[in-house]
Amino acid sequence: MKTSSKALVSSILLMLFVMSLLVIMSLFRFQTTLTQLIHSKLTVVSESISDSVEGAIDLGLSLSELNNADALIARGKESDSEIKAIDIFTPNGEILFSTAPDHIGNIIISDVLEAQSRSTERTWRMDNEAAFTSGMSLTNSIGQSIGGVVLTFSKAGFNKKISDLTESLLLSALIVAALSVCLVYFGIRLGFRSLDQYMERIDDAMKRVSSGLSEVNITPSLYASADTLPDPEVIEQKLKTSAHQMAQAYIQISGIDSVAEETGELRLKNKSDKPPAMPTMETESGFAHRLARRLIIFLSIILVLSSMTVAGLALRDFNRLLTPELGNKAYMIGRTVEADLIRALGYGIPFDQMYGADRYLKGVVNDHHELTYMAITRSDGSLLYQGGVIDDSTRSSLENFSATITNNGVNAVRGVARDFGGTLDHILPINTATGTLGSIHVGIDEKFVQRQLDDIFFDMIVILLSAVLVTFEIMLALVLVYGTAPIQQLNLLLDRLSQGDFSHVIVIRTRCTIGRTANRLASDIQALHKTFLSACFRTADTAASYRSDARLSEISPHLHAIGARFGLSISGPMPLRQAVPSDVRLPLFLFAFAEELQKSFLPLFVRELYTPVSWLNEPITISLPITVYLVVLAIAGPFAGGWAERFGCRKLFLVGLIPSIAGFIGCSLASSITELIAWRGVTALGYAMITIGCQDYVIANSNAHRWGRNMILFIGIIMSATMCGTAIGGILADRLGYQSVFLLAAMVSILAGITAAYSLIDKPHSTPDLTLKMTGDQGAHHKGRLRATLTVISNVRFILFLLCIAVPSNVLIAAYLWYLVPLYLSDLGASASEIARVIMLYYLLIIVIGPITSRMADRPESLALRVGLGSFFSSAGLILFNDWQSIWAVVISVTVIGLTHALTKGAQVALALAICSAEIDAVGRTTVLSFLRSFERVGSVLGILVSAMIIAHYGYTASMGVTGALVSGAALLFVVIHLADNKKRVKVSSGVQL
Amino acid sequence: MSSCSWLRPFVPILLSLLFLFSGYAASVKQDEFTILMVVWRGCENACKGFQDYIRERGIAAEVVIRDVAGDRSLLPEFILEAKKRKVDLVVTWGTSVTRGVVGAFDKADPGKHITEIPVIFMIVADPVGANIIKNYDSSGRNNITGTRNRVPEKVQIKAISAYRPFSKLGLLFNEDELNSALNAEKIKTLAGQMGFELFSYALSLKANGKPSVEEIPAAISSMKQANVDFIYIGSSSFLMAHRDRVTSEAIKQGLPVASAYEAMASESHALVAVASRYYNVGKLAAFQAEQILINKVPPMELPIRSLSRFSYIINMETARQLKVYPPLDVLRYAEIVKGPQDAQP
Repeated sequence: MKTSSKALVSSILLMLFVMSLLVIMSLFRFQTTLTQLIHSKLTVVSESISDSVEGAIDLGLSLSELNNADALIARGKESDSEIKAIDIFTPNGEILFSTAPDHIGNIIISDVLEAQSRSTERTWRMDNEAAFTSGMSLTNSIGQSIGGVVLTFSKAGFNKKISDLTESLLLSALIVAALSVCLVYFGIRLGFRSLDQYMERIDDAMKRVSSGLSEVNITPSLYASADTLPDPEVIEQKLKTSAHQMAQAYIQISGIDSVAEETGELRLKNKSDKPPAMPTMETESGFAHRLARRLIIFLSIILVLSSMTVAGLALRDFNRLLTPELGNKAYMIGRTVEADLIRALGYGIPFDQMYGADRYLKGVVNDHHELTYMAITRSDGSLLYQGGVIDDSTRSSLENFSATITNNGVNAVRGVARDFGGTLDHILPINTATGTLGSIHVGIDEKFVQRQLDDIFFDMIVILLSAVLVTFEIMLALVLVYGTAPIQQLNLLLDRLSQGDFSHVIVIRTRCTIGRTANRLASDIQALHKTFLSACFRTADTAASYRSDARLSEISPHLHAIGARFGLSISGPMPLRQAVPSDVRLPLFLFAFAEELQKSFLPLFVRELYTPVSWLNEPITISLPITVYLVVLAIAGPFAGGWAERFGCRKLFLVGLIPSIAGFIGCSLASSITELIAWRGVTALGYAMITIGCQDYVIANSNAHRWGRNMILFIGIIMSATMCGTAIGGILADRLGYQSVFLLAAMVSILAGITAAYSLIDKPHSTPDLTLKMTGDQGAHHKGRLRATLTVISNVRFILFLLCIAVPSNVLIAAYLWYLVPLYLSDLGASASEIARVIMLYYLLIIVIGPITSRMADRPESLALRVGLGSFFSSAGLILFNDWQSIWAVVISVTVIGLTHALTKGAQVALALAICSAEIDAVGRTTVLSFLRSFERVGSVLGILVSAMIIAHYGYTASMGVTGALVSGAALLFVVIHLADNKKRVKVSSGVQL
Repeated sequence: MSSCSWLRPFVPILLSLLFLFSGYAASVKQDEFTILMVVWRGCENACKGFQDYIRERGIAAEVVIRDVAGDRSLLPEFILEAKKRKVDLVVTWGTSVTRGVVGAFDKADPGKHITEIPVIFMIVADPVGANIIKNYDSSGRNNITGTRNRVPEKVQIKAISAYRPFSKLGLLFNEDELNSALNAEKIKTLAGQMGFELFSYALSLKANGKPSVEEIPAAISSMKQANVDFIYIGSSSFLMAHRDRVTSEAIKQGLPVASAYEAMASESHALVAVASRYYNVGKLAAFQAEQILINKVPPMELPIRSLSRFSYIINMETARQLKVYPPLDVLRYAEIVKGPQDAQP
C-alpha cells in the first residue's frame, strides 16, 4: 500500500469524522430548537389554564370545586392535536380533572411529582421516549402547593421529524463526502507524487541491484540531509556496495576452511574494525513537513467547502421541518391573544379602545423570540395595534393583505402564511357573535431557522480548525512513519551495510517498496548470519560452545574476527531503530488534547459541585483543583525528570497514563469537591510524568544545535493540543455534560498510550552524551541541587526577571485565563463552548504568531526591553476594560495577552538564559530552566489564591483589575531598573574607554 | 406573565418551605386542640378562611369563636376564659382585639393580657405601628405571631401604574387615624423614590376631633383642580366607612379611585383595589397555627407572614363610566367585578 493511499484513507476518515460531527451537531441543534418550540407552546397552554385555576382558588374555591376546569382543559387540548392529555392533580398526585376520562381518580405517575418537587420554578418539564411532559405548579395565595397542571405531548411527530432530518442530513453529508473524497483523491495523488515517484525510483534501483552484482565501490559519504530525501542514486550505490560487502563476507566465511588463517587476519586488519560512527538523525524531515503543509492547505479548503455545503443543505432541511412547527406555534399564540381580546370585549371594552394593547403585544413578542411582531388590524385592514418591529413595507402589505381577507373571506387564507419580506405573517380572524371584527397577525422571523444554525457556526469553525490541526499531526505522523522515516532508516542501515556492518536489520511492517527492500535485506542478512552460524558449527561443534561469542574467540579467533568485521554474531542480527524527537508527536498531542479537554469548564464544574465549607470561602475552594494541580506539577516535575532517565521515556509515558486515566475517570465520577481536587492532583502526577518524559525524549534524541528547534516543536505540540482540547472540550461539555468529557479524556488517553507504545523507543542503557553535556553533571544532582539553587538565586537580575516578568505572565495565564475567565464569562451568560472559544484564542495566537517571532534575533539589551514592554502591555486589556462587563471585553483582553505572549514568550526564555549565562556554565541549562519553571508554577499558585481572595471580597472585576495592575506594575519596574542598569553599564564602559 | 411577577414575590421561598411542612404534617398523630378565636364583628371571611384551612388540612382542632361585636369591654371575659380553659391557641381579629388581648409590645401585663398561650393575630393593618410586635421578621414576643394583610405601599403604587401610568397622585387621608397618617408618610417617601408628584389632602378635624363627611366633595374638587390622575385611599376606617360617598363623588367629578380596601372596589365604586382577600389571610393565619400546633415551632420564631399573591380588583362599571378601560395585560390576572360577565370562573 502506498503512502499516498494511507494518506487518502486518513483524509477520508477525517472528512467523515468532520461531516458526522457536523451532522450530529445539526441534529442536536434541531432537537433542542424543536424541543424548545414544543415546550414553549405547551407553556402557553398550561399557563392560561393555571392562571384561570389559581384565580378561582384565590376567590376561595378549592381545587375540587372548580366546575369550569373540564372546559378549560378541553379547550387547551384542542389547541394542538398532538397534546395527548391534560391533567390537573392535587399535591398527593390524585388526578381530579383530565381530558382522558380514565385518568380521573388515578394517581399521577411518581416521576411527575418528583419533577415538580425538584423544580424551583413554576414550570417544569420531564421528557421520556414516548412523550414530552410539561407541567406547571398551582399554588394558592398563601404560597402553598395545591397541585399542578400537566400536559402530555406525543413525541410521534417529533420523532418523525428527527428521523426525517437524520436521513436527509446523512444522505447529503454522504454525497458531499463522496464528492470531496474524489477531490481529495486527486489532491493527495498529486501531493504525494514526488514521494511515490521517489519510491518507484528506489524500486527500480532495487531491481537493478538484484539483477546483477557489479563491482562498484563507493565510500558512503552522502548522508540524508535534513531537507531532502536521500537521492535514489545514492541509495542504489549504497545497495550495490552493501551487496559487494555481503559477497565479501560470504567469501571470507566460506574461505575459512581453505584459506590460511593468517592471511585472512591480515586482510581483515586493513579494514576498519569498528562499525562506522552513526550519524545522528535530524529532527524532522523538512520534506515531510513541506508535504504535510501542502496537503493541509488543500484538505482545509476541501473541508471548509464541504462543511459549507452540508450546512447549506442542513439549513434547507431545517426550514422545511421547522417552518410548519413555527406556523403551529404562531397559530397557538394568536389563539391566546384572541381569547384575551374576546374576554376584554366581553367586559364591554370597545375594540378600538383596548388600552395597553401595544404594550401587551410587545410583551408577547418578547416572550417568544421567533416572533418579529404581533399586530391587530380592523376589518377594513387598517392597523390598530402593534407590538414588535413593523416597518413601512410590512405595514402596507399587512394592510393590503387584511383588506383582501375582508373581501374574499377568511377561509381563503387560513393556514397559509404570507411572506412579507423576511417575515412570515400568520393571520387569525377575530370572530365574535356580531361578526368578524378584524384579524390578528403573528409575524414569524424567517431568519429564526437560520439563527438556529448560526449558533453552531462558531462551534463548526472551531471544529474545523481543530480538525485541520489534528490532520496536520496525523499527516505528518503518516508521512514520517510510512514515508520518510523508513527511507531514512533504510538509508541509515545501508550506511552500515555498505561499510560491511551486518549487525542490524530493520523490520518494516508495511508492504511498500521500502518495506520490501528492507525485508529482503533483512532476509539476506539473516541468511548471512545463518551461514556464519553454520561455519561456527563446523569450526567448533561442541554443543555448549556456540552460545557464547566469548567462547568463540577462544576456539576460533579467525572466525571471531570475521564476525567482528562484518558485525556477525551467532545470536543473529539486532533490529535497528533510531529514536527521533518527532516520535513524541502523536502520543503527546493526543495526551495533551485529552488533558486539556477540561480547561474551559473546570471552574464551572467545580462550582457546580461546591458545597459551603466553613473554613474556606467559595472562590478559593473553586480555585483549589487548579492550584492543587499546579502544586503537584511543581513537585512532581523534578522527580519525573529523574524517572525519565532511570526508566526510559516510553515506560514513563505508559506508567504515567495510569494516574492520568484514573484521574480522568475519578473526576468524571466525582460527587464532591474534595474528590475532584484529589483526582485532579492524581492527573497532575500523570501529566508531569508524561510531559517531562516526552521533553526528555526530545532533548535526548536531538543533537546540540537542533535542541532549541526541537523544544519549540515540543511546546508547539502542547499548544496545538491545548487549543484543540480546550475548544472541543467546551463544545462537547455543552452537549454531553462535564462528566462525559472526562470519560472521553480517559479514552483519548488510552489511544495516546497505544500510539506511544508503538512509536516511542527506549534505549535502556544509553543516556546520550548530548544530555549529559547540556545538563551538566546529572549524577551529582542530588547533592548539587542545593548548590545550583543557591547559585541561581544569587543572581539578582534573574530574581528580578522572575518576580517582575516570568511569574506575572504565568499568573496572568493561570489566574486569569484558566480561572477567572471561565467563571466571569459564565456569569456573563456564556456557554462552555463560548468560554472555550475565548480561551482558545490565546493558544491560537501563540500557535500562529509564535513561530514568526521565534526567528527574531535580538541583542540581550533590546531583548529585555521587548520582554518588559510586552509584559507591560499584556494586561492592558484587564485594566482598560475593567468596567466594561461584556464578553467582548474578555475577548479583547485575551487577544492582547495572546498577542503579547506570542511576541515575547520565546524571548523570555532567551532572556532568562542570557541573564544566567554564568550560572548555566556552572549548573547547566536544564537546571536553570527547571528552576524557572518551578518558580513560575509556585507564582501561578499564589496568583490564583490571591485572585480568589480578591473575588471573595470585591468581585470579579476588581480581581481582574488588580491582577492586571500588578502585572503591568511589575513589568514597568523591570523596565525602569533595566534601563537604569543599562545606563550605568554604558557609563562604566565609556569610563573604561576613556 | 412577567408583568404580574411582582405580585408573587414570595412564591419560591414559601413553596419550598411549605413542601417540607405539608408532608410532615400529615404523618403526625394529632391530639385534639382547642383554638379560641376572638373576632370584632362576627365570623366574616378571614374567620371562615381560617376554619376552612383547619378542616381541609384535617387538623383535629375545635375552633371556639368569641365575638365582641364591636364592644371592647367584653375582652377581659374572653381572656379569662382562654386562660381557664387552657386553650392551645388564641386567634385575634383586628387591631383593637389584638391590642386588648396581648397588650402593647413593651407593656404587656400577665394579669390582664395573654402572655403564655400562643396568639396569632390577623387583619391588623400595621402591627408594628400599633406597637404590638417588634418587626415583621419576628414578633419579639414569646407567644405571638401573626399575618400581614396590608399590601405593601410600593406594590400598591406599582399596581396603580400598571393600570395607567400616572404623574400625579391625589392622596386622601385622615390625620386622626394613626394607620392613615402612617400610610400617608410612606406614600410621601415613595413619591420621591418612584418619581411621581403627590397632592395630599388631609381631612380637617372638626370640633369633636373627628373629620366630617361633608368635607368629602370639597376634598375631591380640590383634587380635580390639582389635576391628579388617581385618588388614592390607602388606609382609613373613616373613609372606608364612607366609601360610597367618596367613590360616587369621585366618579361625578370624573376621577378614578384606587384603594387598598377590597370592598372599595367590589362593594363600592372605586376603580381599582389591590388588597389581600380576608378569606386568604384567614387561611394564612391557619397555616401559622399549623406551624405552632403541629410542627411545634415557637411563635417567636415564625415571621409575620404575608400572602404570596394579592388580589387586583377592577370595578368594570366604574371603568366604563369613566372610560378608563383596564389594560389588556392586567385583565389576565385581575378580578373583575360588576362586569357584564365575571372574569373568573
